[in-house]
This record gives sequence, structure tokens and C-alpha cells, in this order.
Amino acid sequence: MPSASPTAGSATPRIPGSWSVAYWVAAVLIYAALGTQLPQAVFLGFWQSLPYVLVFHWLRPKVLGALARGRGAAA
Amino acid sequence: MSWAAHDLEPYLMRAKLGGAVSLPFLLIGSYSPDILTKWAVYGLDFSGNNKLVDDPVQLHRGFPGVGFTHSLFFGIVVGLLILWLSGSRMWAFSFILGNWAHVLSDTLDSVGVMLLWPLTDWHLHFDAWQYVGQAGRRVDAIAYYTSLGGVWDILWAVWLLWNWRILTTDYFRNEIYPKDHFWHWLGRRASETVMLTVYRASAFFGIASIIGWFVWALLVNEYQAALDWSLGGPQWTPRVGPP
Ligand SMILES: [Zn+2]
Repeated sequence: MPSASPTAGSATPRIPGSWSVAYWVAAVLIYAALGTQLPQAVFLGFWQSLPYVLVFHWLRPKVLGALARGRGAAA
Repeated sequence: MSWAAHDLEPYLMRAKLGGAVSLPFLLIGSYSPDILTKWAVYGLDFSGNNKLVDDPVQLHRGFPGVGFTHSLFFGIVVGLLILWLSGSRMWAFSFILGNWAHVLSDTLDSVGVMLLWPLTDWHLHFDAWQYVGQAGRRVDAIAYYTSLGGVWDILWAVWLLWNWRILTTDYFRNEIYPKDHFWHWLGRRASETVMLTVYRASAFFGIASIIGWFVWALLVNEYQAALDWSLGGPQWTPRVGPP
């Protein structure tokens, strides 16, 4: 639907700190789970984690922002 | 040897010593003893079946060999080199501290380190867990994470999680970035997202790898050893002492 108002779409919702903590706990667990299946691909050294950590940083505002907007819309 | 402890120790040193030290150079120092040689110690693949040298223990911790990377002297020499090249006492001091933390952690296994090389090739070793590097990375991972080595890693992870605020963006902006020229240098070339990635990656990797290795060692791999927190364990590995 193209009718969403520009203000509702562009407002940056505040992301609670506890959401960030939960996000990083989930990111760590995802990486750990990957390592249990393919240890040689992700557990040989910290440099293997660099692209993953970069992507997790890049995704964080997008994922948590979408969640915060969803909560705002529901309220 | 220690595993994730080497990834985590620098963060706690930075937390305790504050702006007197540089986290990137603590990390480089902490990685320095093994980063160029571990592939030769373990062999080229994960299984340990592709041996490159006849005596990995001699290579890794002895002399002749590259055991000098695990000595107090090596940290000082490279630290002085960093001072000469960069002019930064903070970076040099941080490298030395990071290197020494690695060297002292490795005294806890059954081979230990040539702490006072080149004065003597005597090894300091406390035998809290077995050195299993000669068996390849796969067996070493199982042995390490089922022995007191795994407990050693957990201690550092718990200490870091207790101090979790040092990993926040606010802490990076207000405490880390302003006090170390490394970040100004990196900030001219990369975004804050990249800087935060560099800042946090080793902590992320350390904690995630501890969780994952424990699960893998106890539940996933075909050998599936049990926890053995006896001194000098695990008992199923061959006994290995200094070369
Ligand atoms: Zn080492």
C-alpha cells in the first residue's frame, strides 16, 4: 500500500538498550551454532568472525528499528 | 595452549588499566606468539592428518623452533620495534602486556614456555591441562574444552560479561576512541560501524567460540569426550612435556 504517511515511515523510533543486548546475545548464539556445525569455517581465529560481526552491526538498526516501528504501530 | 582466553584477556586489561593502554595493540600482542606459526604446528587442515613437521612441540615451544615467541624477551624486542617505528609508548607497552599475558597463560599447560629465553631454554609449566597441539586442531579442541583449559576460557568470558558495559557504543565513543590515536587513524579511513566491528570482533569471537566449542566437543563430534576437570587432564590424551 502506497498510502503510509511519510512522517510515520521516516520517524526514527527509540531502540531500548535491552533490545540491543538481546540482539547481540542472539548474534553470538547464531555464530556459536554455526561453529558447532562447521568449526573449521568460523572457529579457527577471530579474523573469521570479522565479516559476520560487520554484517551484524549493519543489520542491527534495521532489525531493531523495524521491531520498534512495529511496536509503535501496534500501540 | 589457551584458546579464547587469548581473545578476551586484552579487554579486561583495557578495562583495568584504562587510557594507559591501547586495545588493538593489546590484541596484536596477545595474538603475536602463535599467529604466524599455528598452521605449521597443527598441520594444514582441521583433522590434523596433514602433518607439516615431525615434532610440532619442538617447533611451537622449543628452540631451535619458534618457541622464542613465547618468552618475555620477544615481547620486549617487538615492543621496542613498535616504539621505534611509531614513537608511541602506549602502543609499545600495550603490545608487551598483550604478549606477556599470552605467554603467562600458556604456562598453564603441560609443555609451558621458555619464559627467560635466551638466558635459558628451561620451560615454566604448571600442568593444569595437557598440551595436545601435536595431535592436530580437532583433537586439541576436544581435549582443551573438556579439560581445565575450558574452565580457564570460561573465567575470562564471565569476567568480560560482568564488565559488559565496556563493549557498548557509548563506552567506545567516550572512553576508547578519544584516548588512542589508532582509532583516529582508522576513523579517517572507515565508518564507525567498521571501527565498532574492529573493537568488538575479538570479544564476540571469544565468547561465541567458547559456547560453540563446548557444544561441539561434548555433543557434536564423533569422539564426544566427557568433561575431565582433573589437574593435568584430560587423562585420555598422551602425556606431553617440554621438548
Ligand atoms: Zn601460545
